[in-house]
Amino acid sequence: MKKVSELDVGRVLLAGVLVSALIVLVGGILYLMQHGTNVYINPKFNHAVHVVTVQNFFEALYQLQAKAIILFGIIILMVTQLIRVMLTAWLFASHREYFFAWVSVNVFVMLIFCIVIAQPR
Amino acid sequence: MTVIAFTMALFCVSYVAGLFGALTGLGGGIVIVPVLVLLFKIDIRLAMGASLLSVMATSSGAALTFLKHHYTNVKVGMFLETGAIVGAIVGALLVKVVPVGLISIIFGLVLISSIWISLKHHRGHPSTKPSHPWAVRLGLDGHYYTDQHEHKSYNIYRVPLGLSLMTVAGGLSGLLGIGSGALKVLALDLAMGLPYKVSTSTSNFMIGMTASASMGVYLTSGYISPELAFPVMLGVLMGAFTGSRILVLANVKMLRMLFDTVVLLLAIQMIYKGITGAL
Repeated sequence: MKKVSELDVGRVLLAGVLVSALIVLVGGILYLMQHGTNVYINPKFNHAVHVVTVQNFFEALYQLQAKAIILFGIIILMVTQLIRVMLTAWLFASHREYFFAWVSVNVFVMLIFCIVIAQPR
Repeated sequence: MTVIAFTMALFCVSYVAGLFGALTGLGGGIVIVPVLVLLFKIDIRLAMGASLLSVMATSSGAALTFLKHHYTNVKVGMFLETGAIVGAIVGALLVKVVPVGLISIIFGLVLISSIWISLKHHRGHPSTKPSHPWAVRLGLDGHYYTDQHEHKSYNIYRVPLGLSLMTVAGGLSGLLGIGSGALKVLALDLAMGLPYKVSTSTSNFMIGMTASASMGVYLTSGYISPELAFPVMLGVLMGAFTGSRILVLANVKMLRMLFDTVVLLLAIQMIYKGITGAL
């Protein structure tokens, strides 16, 4: 089994950022094509309008709505963080640093936990 | 103004913020929030969301460069991240209950302290004292190579204090939508005695994870407005990239002083607006 190095963690992060930025850019361009010539109105903060739920996100993404594509890019960036934490856990485990592998797994679980408890009820 | 003109203006301003954020070491996120709030009259929570996103992107983009130099202490980073994440989620949940005026005041104060921290001269730490027992037990001590390829090892002190400060840094990151890099460096450098380069690069290693924890709450609480977030993210990211290139080429002392002054004025404005309730 090939050992992962710290550099692989960095490469995953860089790749994740590039993919995410590209998706966000595509969504952004699409948004401007659809709404670019409208008069700009400052969005007032409204909990109900901006709130993202899993269901409405996937629906909007399926319809290729510009805002959903941008959100998809953001989620790619979050998934990248999850992958890098798992990769770091593996990195530690392969160097027999089991305590730190365990710490990394804990960080991973906490990141998942943040996403789960943040879901609006 | 049309949407396209506004988006282009946001992009350009974010580019400049990212550029100078990288040059000064303050980071793009902490600079873009007051600009969005004061100049573009954007709701502070939406500005924080856009900032948090750009923080995640820039720190992830820079990580490889830091890791290549082997400055990053991954063990210390992961260990302290446990505290930072707890802080981040509490901070992000607090946004819902803390009045925007108070958030603005705290923001201004953190901005001023960040300028102060980033300006401070970092003295070398003599590695004569023995490491903190936790650091010994966990094998946190590290080593790195200087620019002259000199091998240097370092001890690590005050681990519990570092962990507590990191939890606070995480909390501010969640509450304000920033990376709180300056505070992280403070915990690593001043409290735990890591060399400055190790501190900045370990701080960068952690920022993405901390921001990701807050991002979950931000997304589902409605602090992310995609149409505002996209030009800010792309602008700050490209600006930070340019900044890191310029940093290698030029001496930017004058530019830094000018920029720090501007940011200081923005910080005072944020505090003033928070107190007078003009937000």
